[in-house]
Amino acid sequence: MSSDVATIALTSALAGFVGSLIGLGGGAIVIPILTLLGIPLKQAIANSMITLIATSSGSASAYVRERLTNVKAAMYLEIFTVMGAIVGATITLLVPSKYLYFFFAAFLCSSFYGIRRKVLTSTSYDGKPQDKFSKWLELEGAYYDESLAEEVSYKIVRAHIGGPAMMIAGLAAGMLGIGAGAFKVAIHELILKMPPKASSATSNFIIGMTALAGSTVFIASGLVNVVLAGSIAVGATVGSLAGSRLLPKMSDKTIRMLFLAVLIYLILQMVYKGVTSP
Amino acid sequence: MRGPTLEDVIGYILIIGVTTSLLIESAGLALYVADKGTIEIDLSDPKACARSQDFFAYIIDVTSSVLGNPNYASVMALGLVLLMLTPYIRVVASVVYFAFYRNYKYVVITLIVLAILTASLIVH
Repeated sequence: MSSDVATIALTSALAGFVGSLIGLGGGAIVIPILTLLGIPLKQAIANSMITLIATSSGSASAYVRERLTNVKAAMYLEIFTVMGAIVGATITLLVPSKYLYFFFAAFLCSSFYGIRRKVLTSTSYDGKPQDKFSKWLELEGAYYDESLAEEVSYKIVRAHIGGPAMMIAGLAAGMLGIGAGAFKVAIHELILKMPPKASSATSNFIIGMTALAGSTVFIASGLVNVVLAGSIAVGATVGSLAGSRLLPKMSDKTIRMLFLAVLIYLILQMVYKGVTSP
Repeated sequence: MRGPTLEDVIGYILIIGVTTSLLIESAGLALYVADKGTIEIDLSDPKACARSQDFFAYIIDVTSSVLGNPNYASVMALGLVLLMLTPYIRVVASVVYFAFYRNYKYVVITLIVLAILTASLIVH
């Protein structure tokens, strides 16, 4: 296996492309592929984490201007994800790689939530009365849903539980160098009761900040190689932009089959690596 | 006349920051191939290692290196620095925005995020 600029950029582009199509995020795909190319796991995690800032910010920029992102909710939740990511990245520096492979495989399983989620609609918000803390934080929002051709307004609930829960998402993201988007979306929808589109857009927005927090630890550790990180960043961003262009043209069934195939392959590969690593 | 909203400001910060840093990264990759005469990545190359105990001192080092003696390592490091600064500037802009509109609750919330990030960028 070769780790040259062209191979890394092209495989990162492919990972970004597939990740964007199936909603898994580039990091979860690119890290297992980098290890296949002979990059040590911790270096793959550190260099991929910085590039998440680029891959998440492109779409985050569009979502935030379309008012899909709940900026106030994101700012509040970032207090927790940022702390989690710093702790998570520090743990990665201390834990043997063998265990990280198993953590990675276990965490990928949380992405199965993405399949169940497809059946939800934008009207899943159940209109529960808002608790005092969430109301004090002014956590509510509204956006125009094109598929429903109507304005969707919502109020976020249980911010006192959702905040600390996001620390776990940040911890996993920092440890594994991924966005942990599926896990974040699950917290947004199941605990905070955000509608799916606002939930995805807000999760995407937070991923960039979580990635910065994790990167602050990795850049101090000397694991970041500017040529490797640059090759991943350029490739993955171009790939994810191309994927987001193709996404509206693909059928749900095709996306779901691709998602399952990629996810199961990645889980098996990480378990295999964990078992065979010294 | 309506001024720009927080969403507009943040949206433009993100897209400008990421586009600029990726263009610089691409230029750095071209310099790397021209300088080394190979596309192989050397993971043990000390020049390519972006190590910084104090990120803000690192920004000054990288900028002066690019201005004084630009090479693939300093150009690519500048791209990475800009990439990392993009979400950081987004938080700074949010603090300013909430302060301007006197939403002190969110000034405090965004300042907490900014303080944690700044501490982690300096104290390592």
